[in-house]
Amino acid sequence: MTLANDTMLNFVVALSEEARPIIQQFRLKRLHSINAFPVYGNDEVRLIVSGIGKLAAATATGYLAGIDSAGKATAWLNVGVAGSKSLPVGQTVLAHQIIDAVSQQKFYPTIYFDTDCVTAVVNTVSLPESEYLGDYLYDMEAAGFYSAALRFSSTELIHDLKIVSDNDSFHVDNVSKSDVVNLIEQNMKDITQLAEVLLSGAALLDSMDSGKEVFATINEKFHFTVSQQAQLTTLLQNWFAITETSPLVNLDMDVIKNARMLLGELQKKIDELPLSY
Amino acid sequence: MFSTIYIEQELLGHPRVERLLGRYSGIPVVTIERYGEIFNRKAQNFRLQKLKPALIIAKKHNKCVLAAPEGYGLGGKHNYYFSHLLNCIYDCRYCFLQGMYRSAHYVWFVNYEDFAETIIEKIGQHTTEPSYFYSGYDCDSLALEPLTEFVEFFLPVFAEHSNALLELRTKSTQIRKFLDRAPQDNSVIAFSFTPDNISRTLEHKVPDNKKRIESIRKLQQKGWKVGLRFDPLIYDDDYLASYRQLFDSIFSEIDVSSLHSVSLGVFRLPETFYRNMQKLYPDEKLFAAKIAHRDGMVSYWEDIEKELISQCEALLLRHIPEQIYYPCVLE
Repeated sequence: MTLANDTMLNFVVALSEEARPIIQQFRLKRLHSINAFPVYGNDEVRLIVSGIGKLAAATATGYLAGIDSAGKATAWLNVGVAGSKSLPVGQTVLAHQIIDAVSQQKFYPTIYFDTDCVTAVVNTVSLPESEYLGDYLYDMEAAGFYSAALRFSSTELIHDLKIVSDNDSFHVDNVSKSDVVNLIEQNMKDITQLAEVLLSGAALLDSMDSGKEVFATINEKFHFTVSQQAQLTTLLQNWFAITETSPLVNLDMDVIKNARMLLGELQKKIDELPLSY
Repeated sequence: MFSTIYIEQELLGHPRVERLLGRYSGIPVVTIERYGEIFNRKAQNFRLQKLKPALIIAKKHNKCVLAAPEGYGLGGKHNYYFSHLLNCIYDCRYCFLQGMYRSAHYVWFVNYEDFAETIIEKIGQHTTEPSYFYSGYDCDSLALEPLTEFVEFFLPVFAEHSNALLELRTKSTQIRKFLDRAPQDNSVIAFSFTPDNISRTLEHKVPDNKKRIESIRKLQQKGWKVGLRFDPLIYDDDYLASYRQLFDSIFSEIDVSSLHSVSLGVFRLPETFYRNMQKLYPDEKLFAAKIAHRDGMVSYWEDIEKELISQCEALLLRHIPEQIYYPCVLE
């Protein structure tokens, strides 16, 4: 299967209760051809339900990336509930640091955008935590999710958004499935805002690939070696950096006989383009 | 202003850090072991980070002062550079920093005393000849002055060493610290310029030329030494008219007789930096046109480069005496 879009946002959530409001908000459809994990999607958003724990989160993240080769223009967002000593239930928190409680490995999501969200350290533990030692948020997936997603995208496009479900006054054992659904629903505005920011960040990276359509047209006409394809990509980028008009207007395609000749002609035309700032 | 403030653990409580934190509330503050954890990690995107960089507060452990690259300088024999900051609040598309570093975050080295100690040591190695120290290679020297207190600390250091010269290279108009104190003979504030149209297109977030010229005027009136750096020279079809206009506008406003030095520089980058920069900004015409690859370096075509230098040099020498002109050194 493939969802052909170069800009993507991938949600990774542990529970189906966390997934439900997001599926509704983004109008995602179940992708029935995938069985290893429940996966939902539309043209620019996908969601995978990983199950509980950092290993499950890492596996699901890698699986989702592998479905259609997550590239540089893919953003990742782990959403879920978490425990905190002092923050109120229902508070949305963006992770500025994630610690794997077992290995003590640390990750630092890059918050390159304006946000109204409170930020905090998320401590990923192996078993549910109710002692809430330290000034952390406690979850069971973030470190697994983050370390896996780093293989596919840059730190700016990988984030972890938690909603406080339990604290010193409201024990984790009291959190019901419907509470989880409600908490996610109530904070959908923050989730959506962050999703939009990440999608526009991914789109900025995607827009760095100019000339893709012209590349496809030219690539169909002649046989290009891999090296020549790389040259063509660079030349088209250079062309579109200087002018908005298509090079196809300037190239006499009836005279050009092969890929090599085309590359030479294109370079010549680039050299002749007027240059002004 | 900063997305996050990262602080190396050992610097918690440092007076400069405390003063900075006092100015910023509401920004996440994260303690780290070493700045490289954030700055040098893989999987970072400079272009996205540049939208809202973080500040990393760090300690420079060694190599506080380095020998300046060959050909860099104002004719002196002993040339050094030092950087209290890595990266710049400005976003100049030609700047090599975006090709050299993985991260756009600012790294601020707060252990000024260690820098000063090394500087004094270097000065002591050349008692019979002057030593030249350049700041502004890995950052803008003045742009973050209200936070870093860099000038405030280092001017007094150089005031005590008359056989050393400090050049502070900048595009900033943060000159208040100079106006508040008596001028020093061995300190030069060197302003970089490109023509208006190029500055508007390639020098993002930089104060416009008019404001920079006004800063020069104020500094000269106060008695400070000022230098001009036309570095890098940027080519386009109308470069001659653009540079003529730039030189006219600068030299009609400032006091040429008290200028310390003027230099030109070519647009040249190591090939690896250029590739990184073009990957980040493939839509940038600066990297797309009239570019040649020679011996691991990237620059304009040879004929264009020569023409650019000779024409700009000729234009420049109509305004300034040759004695204060430091030409490009081309191999």
